[in-house]
Amino acid sequence: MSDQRRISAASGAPLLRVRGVSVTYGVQRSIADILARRPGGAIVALDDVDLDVDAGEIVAVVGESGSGKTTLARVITGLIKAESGVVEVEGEGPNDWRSVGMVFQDPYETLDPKRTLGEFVAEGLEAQGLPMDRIDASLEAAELRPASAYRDRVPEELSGGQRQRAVIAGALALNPKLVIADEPVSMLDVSMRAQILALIERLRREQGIAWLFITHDLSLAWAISDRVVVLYLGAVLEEGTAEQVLRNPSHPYTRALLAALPSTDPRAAGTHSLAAGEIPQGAAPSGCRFRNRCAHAVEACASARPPLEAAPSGAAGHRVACFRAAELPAAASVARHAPGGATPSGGA
Amino acid sequence: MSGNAKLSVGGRILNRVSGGNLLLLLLRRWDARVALAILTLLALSGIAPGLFVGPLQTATTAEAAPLLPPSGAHLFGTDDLGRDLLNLTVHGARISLVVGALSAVITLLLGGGIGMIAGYRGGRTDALLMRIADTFLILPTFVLALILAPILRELIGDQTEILGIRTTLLTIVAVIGVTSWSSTARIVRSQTLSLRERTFVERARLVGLSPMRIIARHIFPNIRTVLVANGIVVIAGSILTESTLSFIGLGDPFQPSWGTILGNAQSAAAPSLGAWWFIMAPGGAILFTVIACTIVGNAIDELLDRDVRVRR
Repeated sequence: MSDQRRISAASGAPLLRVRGVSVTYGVQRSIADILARRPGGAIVALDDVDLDVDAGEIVAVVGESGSGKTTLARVITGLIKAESGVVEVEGEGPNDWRSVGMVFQDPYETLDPKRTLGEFVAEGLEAQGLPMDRIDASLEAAELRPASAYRDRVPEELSGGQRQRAVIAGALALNPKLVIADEPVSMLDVSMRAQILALIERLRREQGIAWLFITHDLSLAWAISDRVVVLYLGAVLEEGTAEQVLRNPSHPYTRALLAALPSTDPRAAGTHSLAAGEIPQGAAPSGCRFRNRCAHAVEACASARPPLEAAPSGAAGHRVACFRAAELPAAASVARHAPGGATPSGGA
Repeated sequence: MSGNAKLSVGGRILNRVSGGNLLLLLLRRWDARVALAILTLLALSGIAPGLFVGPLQTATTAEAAPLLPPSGAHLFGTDDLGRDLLNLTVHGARISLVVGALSAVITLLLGGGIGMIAGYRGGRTDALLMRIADTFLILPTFVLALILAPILRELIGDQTEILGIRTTLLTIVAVIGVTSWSSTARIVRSQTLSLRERTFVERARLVGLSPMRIIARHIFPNIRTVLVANGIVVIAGSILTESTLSFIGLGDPFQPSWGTILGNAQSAAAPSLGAWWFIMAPGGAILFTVIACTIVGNAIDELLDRDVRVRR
């Protein structure tokens, strides 16, 4: 799985480089707030996020809802602007749309009900002044074969999986080096998921397309990705290869996420403390943002934000943001929860 | 969906739920069928009145005795000058048709365009355009028409024609258009606001499609049916306004409209003479036309609702 990554990593600068990106959403004040001169609140969606994706690499961004995954996708594609930080694709700002494609979560919403697949794919080509003869090739690359059978159809006539293929075809038409996929299979049947994952894997293999795969589902991350980035309340808590993060998790949050996966072994139930409560709404806690749900939190966790540092595993590229990572018991016992082998993708 | 227009990809905008589709759906409802039949009859009368009742009768060409009640020779009776009321009413359809159609066009162009721009651009553009719309929304159409009609007539002159339509008529059209676009703009804006947040619009922005193209490709096709429904209601409203203006003598004196005939009936003291048919003919024409428009408008609205329900 990591062969491609080694080859691409050798070429130097990453394809996608995100450095120190922060995004804050203002909260609308009510009239009562304005009259009482209460200041408007703000929700930090992303806080000083760093992320690299190499050419031909599949990176999974995992986290619960509210972790900032979708905001990250929207910043990288340029749909929203970051307040601070840098987003570069091949060293250029996010205006070079062609090299970044986007696959949205809901294929039913991404396709205009009034327009055919051909028109959908043509849209990007037209906006970028590319030749229209790429339409058929893009549809076929997304495994909608023969293209002539799909070109003139409207979304209503297609299944969810076919729609998502069409959305992928729309991204492929612009010859992207990187495609951001925001929960691309969460709306699909399980049987369709495997096919879409296989398609993503094949496009990486044959066309060298890198994918930033955003998901809340750790088993999907395991199935598809070379590297995994764990996002919580807009900050990266742990990153490393899929093997490092999911087989040997260092952050209590990653462990909690893995422990929350349903186990095939009934005796394993209850042996791990789940993270208490839900992801906090509104302002993140001071210091480590996970501390109020963490079983291992100490006073130091409240005073400063732990930096993303080399994990106790010592493996290259495995980094974790936790003061107590080294003190925590070895995570070997967690490994049995990693959904290895039981995944539908042929790529893992 | 088999009846859809074929298209060349990457070429022109062609839409799935085409006008033909909507018409077919409408024809499945009996109330819409009746209403469409009435409107078709109105349209035919407006286009070729001579076909049904011969040339327009004037005071000099009228042959019958004045104020004859309805009979086999004169189905709707005659007026105080001996003109056949059926003849006058059929000929009056043209005015209603022209005023209704032109007002709807102006209203939809102004209201649709401004609504889509305000809804899509948002922010200050939206705030400014909606304040302007609000200003027009509170103007009483009829009172404004009452004031503007004689002023414009004085300025342009009675006899001037633009494209074969006398300016007095255009005055009425302009006044109706200017006062009714704002409610259309508000409806269109609210639809645009929700469309703007849809993923397919976001995706179009992402691949670099310009705002104008996004409006043409994704916003307009998705609100077109709303516009049609709204336009038909506008037609009904403008026919009523025109009739009222003509009734009080501010219409086009050279071409009888239903309102003018009603006005004539009033000045000929038809009500006190017991000449009910004098009022019935033009009054019934107005009534049925407005009801037919309203039924079709509501039917389209209901079809849209069902469409939304099915999709959700």
